[in-house]
Amino acid sequence: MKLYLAGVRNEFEKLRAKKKYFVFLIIEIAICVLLLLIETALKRVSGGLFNIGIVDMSLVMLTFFIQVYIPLIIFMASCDLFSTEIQDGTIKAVLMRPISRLKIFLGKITAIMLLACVFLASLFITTILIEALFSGGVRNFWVSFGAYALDIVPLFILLLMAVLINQSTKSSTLAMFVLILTYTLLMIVGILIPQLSGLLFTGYSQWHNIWIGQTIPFWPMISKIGLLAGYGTIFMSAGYYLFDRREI
Amino acid sequence: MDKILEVNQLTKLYRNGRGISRLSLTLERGDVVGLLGPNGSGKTTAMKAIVGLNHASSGSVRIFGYDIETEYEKAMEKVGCLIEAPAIYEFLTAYANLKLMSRYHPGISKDRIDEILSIVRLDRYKKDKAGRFSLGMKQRLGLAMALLSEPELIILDEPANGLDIEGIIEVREIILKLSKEKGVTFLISSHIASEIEKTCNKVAILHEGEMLSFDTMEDALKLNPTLEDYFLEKVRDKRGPVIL
Repeated sequence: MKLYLAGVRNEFEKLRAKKKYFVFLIIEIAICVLLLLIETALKRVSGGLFNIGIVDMSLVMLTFFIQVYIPLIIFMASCDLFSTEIQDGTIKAVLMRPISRLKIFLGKITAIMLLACVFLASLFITTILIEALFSGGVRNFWVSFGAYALDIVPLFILLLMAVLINQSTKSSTLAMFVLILTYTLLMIVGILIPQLSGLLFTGYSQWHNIWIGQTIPFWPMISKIGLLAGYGTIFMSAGYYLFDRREI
Repeated sequence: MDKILEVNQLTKLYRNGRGISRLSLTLERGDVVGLLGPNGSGKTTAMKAIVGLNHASSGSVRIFGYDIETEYEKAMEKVGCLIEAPAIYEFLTAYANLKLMSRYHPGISKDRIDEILSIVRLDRYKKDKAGRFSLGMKQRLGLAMALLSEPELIILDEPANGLDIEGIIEVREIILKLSKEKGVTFLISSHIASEIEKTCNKVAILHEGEMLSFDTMEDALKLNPTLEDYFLEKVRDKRGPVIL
């Protein structure tokens, strides 16, 4: 366990040391603030008629960030910790230490997930603060909190897919390209063929919508959880198998 | 004598047919063994297979009695490596690179990191990002990473790469000092015979993926004036005289 935790700490520190993630975090907050400024300006111009939804900002913003922004961060981080390290040989630094490949693999995944959680938490705090300060109070704090917490699940599955794709190439640029292409295609297929949407894990990117605001039908929920668990198991097993067999 | 490293019939063949075939050698405590061979002879492949970076096609490797495939963590507990180009995170400082590696070994203090930086003469640059380092400085940092945990077996692939004359001598002195004073065992690869001759007490000749001989330096130099001559003799024995 100590070695696994050391791995998580190290991998997270490597991500933290890359300034781009800090910049992306600032951009995330800036987008929220910009939306607030736009709404304030439009309200003034329209005499209070125009409203783009600051009242539920935390949930409105979650829709965009969970489907576009945070997946991109996950793709970048997975490329940084897997294909880039294999490409430039720095992965050897860890592989030659007394830590098993399984712990290294899990440590990297945990660190990327932590990074995604940092982005989610920052978004939540920023939007809740904006709601509290500029829309007369937070109406659905716990609903929003629950939505953010629930959406960690589909993000994790997406991360496992990103990790798997990273194992099939040595080039980080190619890995990033394939990831974006695959994700876009899956999203488009889900939109164009709605019958397939329920079978694709990308169809659950707004996982919270299924849980919040309605009575949860037991069996359909079990099948959805099973589906995501199935995707997760396949991605995780295949990803680890390839990582373990990888020749450096 | 303690058997530190046992390599038994190790074979690693790539798709293009290159690699190593049936490599066997045993390192005892305090040995400084040189793997001598020309470029492409399989030195790096052998080292990678020994530390598990590559999976062997057949054969076995035991380090401190532990099998590298099934008991990896235990086998690598007291091993330090520098294989191919040093694996350094260029966006981190020299100190941060060592700090990261120290977490995989219990009980490495800040003082130990400072000490090792001073040994490889990088103490003045410890707060500089490794990306700004010269080739030689990167090699020194790679060496520091290999020595950090005070390992009992150190595997160095072409450790003199990128180093100037002073650097090469310093590395040699570090190796000899650790071997004599602390009984550290070394496996060092090089294609420079004189370097192996000055540093090692045993030598294995590797040629086209096969081990042609494994002798003590004393025996190797009994009938040959230099290790270079010994190497040429072994190669000629295998493929016949070189016709000019």
